[in-house]
Amino acid sequence: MRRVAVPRAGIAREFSNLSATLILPFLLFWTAPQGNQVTHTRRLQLKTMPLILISIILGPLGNVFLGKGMKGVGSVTSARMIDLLPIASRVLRSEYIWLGIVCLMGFFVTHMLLLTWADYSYVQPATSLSYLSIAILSYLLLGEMISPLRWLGVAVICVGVLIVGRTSPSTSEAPEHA
Amino acid sequence: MREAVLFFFIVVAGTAGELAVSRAMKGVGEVRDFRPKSVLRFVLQSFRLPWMWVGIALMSLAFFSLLAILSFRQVSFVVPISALSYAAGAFGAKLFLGERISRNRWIGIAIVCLGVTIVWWTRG
Repeated sequence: MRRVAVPRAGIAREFSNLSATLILPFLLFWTAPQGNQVTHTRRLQLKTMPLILISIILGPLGNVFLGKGMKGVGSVTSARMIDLLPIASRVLRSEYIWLGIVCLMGFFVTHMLLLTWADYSYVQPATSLSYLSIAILSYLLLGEMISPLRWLGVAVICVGVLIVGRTSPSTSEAPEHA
Repeated sequence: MREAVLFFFIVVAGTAGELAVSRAMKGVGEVRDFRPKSVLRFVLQSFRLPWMWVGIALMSLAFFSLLAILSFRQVSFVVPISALSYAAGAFGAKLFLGERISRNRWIGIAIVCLGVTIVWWTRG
């Protein structure tokens, strides 16, 4: 009985794919043969890898800016309209918030662009790295102290998202064999 | 307590919003043409669907909850916790869209939940 290709949860293989996603764009930039030797796949990878890198930096960067902006606005402690209005006006006037929104919109557009030629099941696992990226960026840019336990949690989340992403994106289709 | 409510909005309203938009998109049909004119028509068409507006309202609620929680919590705490939306998304898609979730996907979701639990312990 033929099995539909179900990706086994081979963690080691996932990580080798993961490192390939990180290292390949650089390798390709440096080693890509010029001229007609460039195969179709390679050309696709040449634009896919940089865009994946951009999207896993731009999205988290947007959240980091939102965080920075909101720390400047002040703690939202009440849900009453009368308290929320002055906060809302400060949010709208915060340049960091707008910067964050621009980053998130850029992320969204990059993601959509990627999905017009790359498969969702290829793009989605790579986005699991954005959880690592958010931790690194908030450490570097916001000076947040991240305990080893939190690094562990973030790493576990990355692995989980990676596995979610390696499953088939179309779930509503009935399999050929029950 | 306050942050539990906000996380609930981020995860549940955010996911419900995406499900509503997804439902609206299924009504529009598959996009095959990416010329600017057709994309614009597609956007205008989708704004006529009630589900689209339900989705936008829910996603706005999620976004404002995210802003509120970021005002007093670290980014490196809030964003990993919001990964719970993978679990909410799977349950929601199963219940409301009738999608089948593969066993491997459930395994991945369980690992995400484990990671979220670990990060939650570090809230200090």
